[in-house]
Amino acid sequence: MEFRDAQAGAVMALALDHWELLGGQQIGIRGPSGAGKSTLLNLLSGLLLPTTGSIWWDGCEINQLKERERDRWRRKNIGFIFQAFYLIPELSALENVLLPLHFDHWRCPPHKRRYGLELLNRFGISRPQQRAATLSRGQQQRVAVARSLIHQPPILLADEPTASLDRASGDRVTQLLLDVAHESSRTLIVSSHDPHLLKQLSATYALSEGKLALVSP
Amino acid sequence: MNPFVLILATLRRHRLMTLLFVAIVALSIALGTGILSQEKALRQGTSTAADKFDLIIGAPGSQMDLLLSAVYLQPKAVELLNGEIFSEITAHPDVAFAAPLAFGDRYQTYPVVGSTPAFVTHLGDGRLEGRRFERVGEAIAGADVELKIGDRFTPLHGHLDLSNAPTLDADSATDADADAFLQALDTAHEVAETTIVGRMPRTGTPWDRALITPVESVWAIHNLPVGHNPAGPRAQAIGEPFDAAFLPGMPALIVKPKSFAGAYALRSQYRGDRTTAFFPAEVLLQLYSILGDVRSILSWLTLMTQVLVLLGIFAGILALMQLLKQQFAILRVMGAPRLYLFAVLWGFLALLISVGSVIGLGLGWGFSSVVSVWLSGKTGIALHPKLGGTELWAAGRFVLIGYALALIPSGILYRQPAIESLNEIG
Repeated sequence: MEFRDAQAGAVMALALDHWELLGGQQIGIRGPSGAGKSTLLNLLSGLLLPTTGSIWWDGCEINQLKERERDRWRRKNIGFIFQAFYLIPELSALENVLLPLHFDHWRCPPHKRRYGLELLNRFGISRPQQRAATLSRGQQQRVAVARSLIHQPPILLADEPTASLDRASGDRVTQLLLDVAHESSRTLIVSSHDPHLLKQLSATYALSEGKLALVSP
Repeated sequence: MNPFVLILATLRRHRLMTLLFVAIVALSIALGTGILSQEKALRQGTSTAADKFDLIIGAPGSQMDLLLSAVYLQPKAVELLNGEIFSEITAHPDVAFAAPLAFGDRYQTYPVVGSTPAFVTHLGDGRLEGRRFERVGEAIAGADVELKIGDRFTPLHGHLDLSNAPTLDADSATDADADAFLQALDTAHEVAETTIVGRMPRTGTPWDRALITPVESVWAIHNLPVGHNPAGPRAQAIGEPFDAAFLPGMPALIVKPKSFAGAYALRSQYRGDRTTAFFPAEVLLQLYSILGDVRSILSWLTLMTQVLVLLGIFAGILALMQLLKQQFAILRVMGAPRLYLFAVLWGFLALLISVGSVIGLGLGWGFSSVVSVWLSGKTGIALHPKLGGTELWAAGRFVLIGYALALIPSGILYRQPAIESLNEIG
């Protein structure tokens, strides 16, 4: 699989001959800024399409899907967590968690609403009606994790999830990600610089100049 | 799909911009609505005020001046109609009834108009509180005149017109001269002093502010013959029949024809060298055509304003586009279909335009009502501005154009690849 960045003059941004993952693994990817970590996650989630080659998830070649189908596939299969959380500040914690449901539903199905409340409760968000803008950074990232889980996706992609948090909050989010990955055998792929996070994952790769290399175990 | 969750969040995020946009939409709609409904109210008000005046006959001259004098009680200098013509018209087989009008006097700000008891019945459709005047020195008050039945007043000319009183030379006057002088003054006063004996129902016309007296008393105050032989049995009578030999000139006649055809026959018969005859509607039409031109110009200006308002809004939105693209890209990452993003932005804009327009309609109607109250106070013409098809269509047209224009930024967002915007976030 190759990806050339058309906007950057078709520079080879990423080149993987073959990369196969087992479902339920927790993979860490480290590498210097600009090495292509985010590009890899965007390719894996179908936000970018490879220039050559293909990306298969569980028997589905996502780069062959139409855009609308890929949107739907992403909605059902991928939970995305960002460094900067990207909550809607005007909505409450619970509304943020339930937001992806509104892409399909006029009203939230009650069992999903209960599930959202459960997640928030479990992640230590005691006031689900609190405005997202007024939450601490650690709380915001935990709400973002809950949001990524609302469709119970089999794959979680996290792009530097602890990079803008202090150590304690970061550790808490790390633990939470590992817990939710373990208990449902989810595939977790995390790009990170955080050694505390990386050492707890089942495998870590280093991305450098568009090439991926296994560094541990 | 439910875009409202995010539409409301967008409203809250861009609160100030939202308020500003709604306000300018509302103001531009209010302007258009106000002009349209005010112009319509003016047409209806002036036309309703002329309803009782089927045919107006006067001396040749400006029909507009006659109309303003007779219907709207804005006295203009008009030529007088020969008194004999009145007798002739009264006897005409096509005429149901005819009444002379005599203007030029007033009490405080109320015009005092002389006419006949039959005219009082005609104007009030037979409804009257109290009774009609039965002799000189009695009057009927319009609904808005602040005098009660039984109140007495002296019209302006009753005070000033002392031309028939003897003069008094202070140096040479004897006691007898002084007595004669004072008695003459008393007499003039008695002639003029008038009692309210009846009150008209509200007509929504300038006549609501008028005092109607027997035409004989107006003539008497002006030292004219009073339409009756002073030596005959009807010397003190008022109203018809008049004695043609003793009729003075009169500014206008109100004629009610017996039939539609009769109305046209009378109109053509009395258009000539001696007289002019016209339906108020035909003169009003000239007025309305001017009014319509003014409205057209104002409407075009309003339309321009509305176009500018819409362009302003969309320029504002396009300036915000970069920000919106970034805010919305994150939704794509979460799996939102492009249509969802489109629906949120279009819905947001459509909501601003719709809410602004509804507020604008109310505001425009309110503005028109305030102007109407002020104008009614000035002219006595009842004005009832309404929101009708014209105003709704004008606002609806604006809304539809706005909806269509809202497709542009929404379409840009729709076509935006998710990842491009995401890269711009960081």
